[in-house]
Amino acid sequence: VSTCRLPLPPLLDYWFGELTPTESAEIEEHLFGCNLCTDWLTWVTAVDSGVERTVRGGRVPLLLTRALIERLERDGVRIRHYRVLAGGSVQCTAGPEDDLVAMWLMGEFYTGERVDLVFVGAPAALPERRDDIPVDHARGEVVFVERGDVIRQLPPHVAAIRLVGVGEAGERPIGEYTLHHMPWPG
Amino acid sequence: MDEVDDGKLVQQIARAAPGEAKEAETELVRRFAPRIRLYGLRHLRDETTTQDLTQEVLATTLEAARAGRIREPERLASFVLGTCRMLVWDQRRGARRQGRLLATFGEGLAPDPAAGPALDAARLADCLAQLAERERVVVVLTFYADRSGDEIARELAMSPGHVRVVRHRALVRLRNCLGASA
Repeated sequence: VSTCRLPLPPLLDYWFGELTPTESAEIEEHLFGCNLCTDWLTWVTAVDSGVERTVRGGRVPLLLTRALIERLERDGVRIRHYRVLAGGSVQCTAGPEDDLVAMWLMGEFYTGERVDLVFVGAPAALPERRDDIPVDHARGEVVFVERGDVIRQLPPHVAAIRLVGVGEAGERPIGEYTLHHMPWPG
Repeated sequence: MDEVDDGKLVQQIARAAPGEAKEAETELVRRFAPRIRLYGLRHLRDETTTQDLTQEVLATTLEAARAGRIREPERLASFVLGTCRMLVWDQRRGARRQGRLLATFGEGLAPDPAAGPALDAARLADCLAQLAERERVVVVLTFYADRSGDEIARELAMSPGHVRVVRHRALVRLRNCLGASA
């Protein structure tokens, strides 16, 4: 869109239905005469179907929301769930049929505070740190999801997830969650 | 044909005997099918119905071009857009004339409008994994869960404006990661 007079944000806002009818009509007049904008939105439609296939196939590690987890399960994605309180621990694994493993981490989260997730002592296949993760403040939970095939490759180990709140006053610990991983028996 | 402007394209079709300006008609279809598809997806949110709309708009446009009924050939894009609007409006009212037009022009004239570009799944997964957490969740909520910006804002305790900024940034990063040609 760089050589097109229309900036990208309104084109995307149009696509996602976030413009007024008058604004949308103006974008449509432009779109019907613009190859670059047509290419961009055609690419967005490819992302749309590609993301759906990718997520449904459990191919993306995610920090998810409860609603997304429920949607994935409705779509037939098999998810093994673990729930851990701050300061608690859990025995965990991934079964041969698990597409994803979801770790529900409970804690006290403050509105307006950024929350980061840090892995301590985890095998290299898992990320060290994830910044600015989504939090369900009403339920006091974070859902961390990893692919089942990644978990199945891990050797027996003990690791911890640390949640850290980041605000103007600096960082504060929210909770540490110890994971005792064992491969699926057999 | 690529360099022929819309007006000349319409004139070539109008001057020829019906169905004889095959190259010009094919170019018209090539040029406008993707735009009609986008219009359909945006308003109908359904690939199958959009495919029907695309064929119907193209057939209507070709019929008008052959009959010399496009009064301002250089404004072909506006004619096609107007036809899209009218047919979507008609469709919502339940009126159909698709059968007659498709019988005249044939479904083979239009390229398969449902066949949008496909992205490499492994590459897309890799590029999604490279996004920041918030960007990735916004992308997934948008495309997988079909959430609006306002719904995402409520779900993630963000402002709707911030959701739009994050979504826009994420899509630009994805496009750069996947390559514009992907």
